[in-house]
Amino acid sequence: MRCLRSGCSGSIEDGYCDVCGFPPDGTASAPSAAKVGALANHGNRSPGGRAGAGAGTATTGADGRAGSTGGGSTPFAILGPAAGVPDEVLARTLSGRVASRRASGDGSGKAEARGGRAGSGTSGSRPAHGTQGTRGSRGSRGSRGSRGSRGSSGSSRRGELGAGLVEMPEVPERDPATAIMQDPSVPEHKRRCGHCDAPVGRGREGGPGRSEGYCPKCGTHFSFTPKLGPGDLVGGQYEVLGCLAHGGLGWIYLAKDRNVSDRWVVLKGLLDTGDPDAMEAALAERRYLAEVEHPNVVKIYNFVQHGDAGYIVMEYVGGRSLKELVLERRAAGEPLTPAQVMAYGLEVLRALGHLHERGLVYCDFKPDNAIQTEERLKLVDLGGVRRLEDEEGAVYGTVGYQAPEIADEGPSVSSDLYTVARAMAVMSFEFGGYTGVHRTGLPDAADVPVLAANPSFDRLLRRAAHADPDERFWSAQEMTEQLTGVLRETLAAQDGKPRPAASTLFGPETRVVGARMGRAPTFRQAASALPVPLVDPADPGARNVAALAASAPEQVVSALDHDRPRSVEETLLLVRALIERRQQERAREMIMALDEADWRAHWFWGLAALAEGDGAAAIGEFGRVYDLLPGETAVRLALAFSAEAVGDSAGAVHLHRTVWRTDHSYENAAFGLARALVAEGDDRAAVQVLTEVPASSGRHLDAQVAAVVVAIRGWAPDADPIRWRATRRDLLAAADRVEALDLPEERGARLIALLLEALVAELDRSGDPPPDRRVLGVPYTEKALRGALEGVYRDLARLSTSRSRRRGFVDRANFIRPRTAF
Amino acid sequence: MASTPALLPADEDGIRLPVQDAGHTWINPRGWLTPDLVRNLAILITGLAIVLAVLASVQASGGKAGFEEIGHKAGPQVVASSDLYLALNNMDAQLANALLIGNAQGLRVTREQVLGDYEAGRRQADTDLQKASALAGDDQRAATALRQALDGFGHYQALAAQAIQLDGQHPHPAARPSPAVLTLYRQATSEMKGTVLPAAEALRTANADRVESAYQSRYRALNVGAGTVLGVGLAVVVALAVLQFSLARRTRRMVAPALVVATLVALGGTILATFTFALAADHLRVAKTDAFDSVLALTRGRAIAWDANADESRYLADPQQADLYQTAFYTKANELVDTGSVHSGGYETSLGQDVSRYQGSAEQGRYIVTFGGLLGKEFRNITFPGERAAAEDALERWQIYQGNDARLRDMVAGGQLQAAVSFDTSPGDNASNGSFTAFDAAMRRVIDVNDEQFTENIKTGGDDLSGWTVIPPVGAVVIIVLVLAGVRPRLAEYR
Repeated sequence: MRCLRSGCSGSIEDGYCDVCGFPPDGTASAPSAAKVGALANHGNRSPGGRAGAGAGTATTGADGRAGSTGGGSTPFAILGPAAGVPDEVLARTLSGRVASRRASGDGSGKAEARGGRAGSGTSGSRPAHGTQGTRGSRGSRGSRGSRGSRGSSGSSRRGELGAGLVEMPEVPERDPATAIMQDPSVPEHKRRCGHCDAPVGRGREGGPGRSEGYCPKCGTHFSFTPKLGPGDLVGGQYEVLGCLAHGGLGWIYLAKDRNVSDRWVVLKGLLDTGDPDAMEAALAERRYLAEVEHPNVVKIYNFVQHGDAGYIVMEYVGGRSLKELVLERRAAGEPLTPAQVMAYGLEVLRALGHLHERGLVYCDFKPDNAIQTEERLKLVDLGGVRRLEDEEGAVYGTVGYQAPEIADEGPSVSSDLYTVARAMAVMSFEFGGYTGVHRTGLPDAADVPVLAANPSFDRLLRRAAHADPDERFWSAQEMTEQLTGVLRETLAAQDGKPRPAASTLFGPETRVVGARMGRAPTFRQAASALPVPLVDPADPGARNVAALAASAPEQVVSALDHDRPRSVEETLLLVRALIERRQQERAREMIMALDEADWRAHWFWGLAALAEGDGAAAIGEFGRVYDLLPGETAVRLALAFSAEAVGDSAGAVHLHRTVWRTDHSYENAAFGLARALVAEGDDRAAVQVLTEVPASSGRHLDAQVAAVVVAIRGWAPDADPIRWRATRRDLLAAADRVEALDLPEERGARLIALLLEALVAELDRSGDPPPDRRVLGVPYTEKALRGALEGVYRDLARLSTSRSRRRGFVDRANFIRPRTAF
Repeated sequence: MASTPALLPADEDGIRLPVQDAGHTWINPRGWLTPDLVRNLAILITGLAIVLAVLASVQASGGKAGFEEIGHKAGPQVVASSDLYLALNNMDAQLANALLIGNAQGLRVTREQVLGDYEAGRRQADTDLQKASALAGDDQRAATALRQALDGFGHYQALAAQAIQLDGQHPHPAARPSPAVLTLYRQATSEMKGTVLPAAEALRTANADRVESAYQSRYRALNVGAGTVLGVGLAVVVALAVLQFSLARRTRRMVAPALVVATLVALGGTILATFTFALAADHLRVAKTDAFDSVLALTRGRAIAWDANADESRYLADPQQADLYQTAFYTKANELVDTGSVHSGGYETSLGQDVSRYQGSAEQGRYIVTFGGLLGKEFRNITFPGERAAAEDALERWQIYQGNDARLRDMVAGGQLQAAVSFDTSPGDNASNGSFTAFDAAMRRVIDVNDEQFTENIKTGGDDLSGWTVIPPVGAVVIIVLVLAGVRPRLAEYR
């Protein structure tokens, strides 16, 4: 069917001419105007729009790919309801109800949480709360957010990709000239309608397809020929050099800024509209983008008009998009490590945090939209950015990344964070079905080796990409802190080098328990050693809490356990004091009076359980805190103690090890790890851990002593014969270690006695002492060792206050002394 | 049982030294600490040493008392009571001789001489009675026997005095006393045989039994003591060795010199003491069974010989009862040397055969003794140097005496009564009385040999033991001091 318009050579397909775009009935101007108006109304806030990935793919223009390169990821623009968009592209309308709905959700969530608490309180053990636990938690999150602003781990970064912590893939800056397409054309199979995504401009019956025309389905105009040619001067200052790529809103051009030292810039078309007023309005609307100045966000230089088209002038970013990187690396057989993914995630969060601070949301984050160039990751394509308070504008998003609640509630900070988490998931493992089965939610960690191997990472992703926005991180800042924590853990696990950093939520360990390995700490001691959640300075009772901080539990209880209302922090301090005073029941009453959404409620409930030795309950509570704060070392320490409490030494080994490996300031973890390793029978590893306790530590001496004791255990006369026995070299190393220690007399004597016993036993068994070797100040011969041992035992006898012990020591001295005639 | 001793509990650092806890078991010595073991062993050794010393001292003094009793108290008393028997027989024999001789002159012996011998025998009997009465106080049987002996002896003396006086008032030729005298004499001699001699014999037996039982208990005590001392001494040595070994093992000091010396002292002392006690026991045995028993038997034999010789005189002096006396003579002769023949002539012949058989075998060094009796017993129990020669001499002289006796009885049968009396009473070597005297002297020499040996063994045994009342305590003190000296430095460590 031919087009009926005069001068048009197109044919009618699906009701529209494929050249002029008019319907065959000749009355096309009205719907066309309505359509354009609608587009102007909604689309002017998204100049990048469909062309979002254009800058990202610019560097790969040579291979001719444009727009979305992946098969599964289909970018879409969401238009207003008047547009009548087809449902299969997941276009949804936003209403302005979001804010009020969320406000009402706050109240109902709280009530719900109370109900859950009351129910669990009567049963005595707290059930897994699932998603309802943190519903309505805005209050506590608010307080946390304000605390988070007091400097964080993010401040230590140097602005380099990977923060100097992670070795990142190298992406050299590319000469833009080489990125120019020689023959700017769009392959026919990639020609699709910018509006309805229907294939357009395809060749038929052997002939080439049209590069310009109208979509046969919706009648939208399409053009795949560049509007600017090399040498065109746009805005009187930008000399076009050529096409880089083709995006959703037309071609993207490389140009030179004649006015500013011939720097490279990118010109990108705004909405393709012939209406100058609409164009002006659109430009004005997007001006705020130019105010965004962040090293991780592409810089918008200018908005210019050329002919009837508007262009946005932006920084040229020559590099490779994360998507390309991921695919390349995966094809090369060395996929990005979780640490690298997290490093990228941190960069993205930095940029998003900046946007959020300015009241903007990015909306459409995905790996395509971040380009790494040299040591920097930049978000390109600000087309989807919109104001938080904007309740009407079009919302962009990509299937598989966008949050599920977006259609009902509109974009929010947490939906932005959701997209980051989804993208991280996609980047870190082969996320099959991320647009399908797992459009929301993540696959079972057991099925994904990367997640199984990095439980903290897994929990972080699960929290950030939770279907319920209230379960997610509350701010980019918060997510950054937790992600940094997880990254530190992951990196430390990779190379064994600790990555210590102060937490913004927890103080340091209050004490070190179990440092003297002969006495395992009680659960109560372990509970009291755990770091204490930091006090929120904004809390009304903060001053009171600070004043009582150094007081004994009894004083705290007498000061705070009264009928007057207490602030949250006062209550928490009181809870801690009650737990220390073994008044668990009273402490639980207090906790139940707290807002359940506050993670500290779980923390202290777990603390009370741990203090009682109820490891299973403690694991449940601390596990919940771990879900919420996967980057907090203190939580893993608490879980490690709980694992010890239930007798799960293998689990305790794992947890203590992650803590200790990440941060050597958690000395409880070192001793806990050694303890658990000994329980597992791995004395050798325990010795290794104990020797890692730094010399600057107050427990260095204890650790060294414990290392020697554990190393020698296998040589005890009554030791299990199958137990690992230290080699002579281990023993001599232990002796050197002991010699370097400055021990009090009796303790030193006992240690040396133990060591000499082992040396003598080893020499008795193996024989053949090396000549001219000295150990502990005596020659390494049996006679000399026995002589030294006799002396040590006589010293111990002299130091001993009890007569029976003294006799025992003298007896041993006589029994072990070198053989003599008289 | 070998439960491992409890060790000290691990300390705060988990250091568990292989040091034994003091709360050890008292039942199992392996669980004892060295000081406990050493102290207990030292106490044990001290106790054993004291026991050893006390035991050895008591044994030594007991043994010494045994020698004292047998050698110097009970022994001489027995000899004295044997002598009493002899003296009484001698008195009766001299009385018979006095009545036999009468106032006959021309004999080689006079009535006054015989009466002098009688008087000497009476004094000897008095002395012996006095000696024998020393033990009568504590022995009921001996006291009764002594009373009877004294009573009978007084009665006998009265009858004998009447007979001698009456015989003096009626002088008569030899072998013809008046019937009244003979009647008195018969009364006297029956008093002697019926009362005095049995009482004397009972006295002697009582004393001999006492010696025998003393010997038995002392001898057994000495032997048992030697064994006990050996056992306890070896226990001390073993305990010392255990102590030494324990110290070597537990303190790795191989030698404790003081303990070694103590061990040597204990070992040497034990062996020496055991040896000494065994030797003393042997001395006692020799003195008692070899020497003293021989002395008793021979003394008794001598008394019987005297009685037999008296029967010979009575045979002449009392013709009415001559047959009785002849029979008594041969009975007694058989008691001394039993030939199996109780007839005149037959006895001498048998004796000659036995003697010649003995002498024949003696030349071959086999000493076959075919005769019995007390002398035969003696021949079977010859143990001392010179004893055999003396015994052979006595046997020879007994044979001569028997030969003379046969001649005497031939003279009586030939009616040559005066010649017979003269032959009987003559002290000449070829006469009956002379040969008897020679036999008696030979018997005394045999007794002397045994008596000397008895005295010798008693003395030696007593002297051997005399030091051993002092040596054991000294030795024990030495051992204890050495043990304490050896153990003290070890125990001092544990204070």
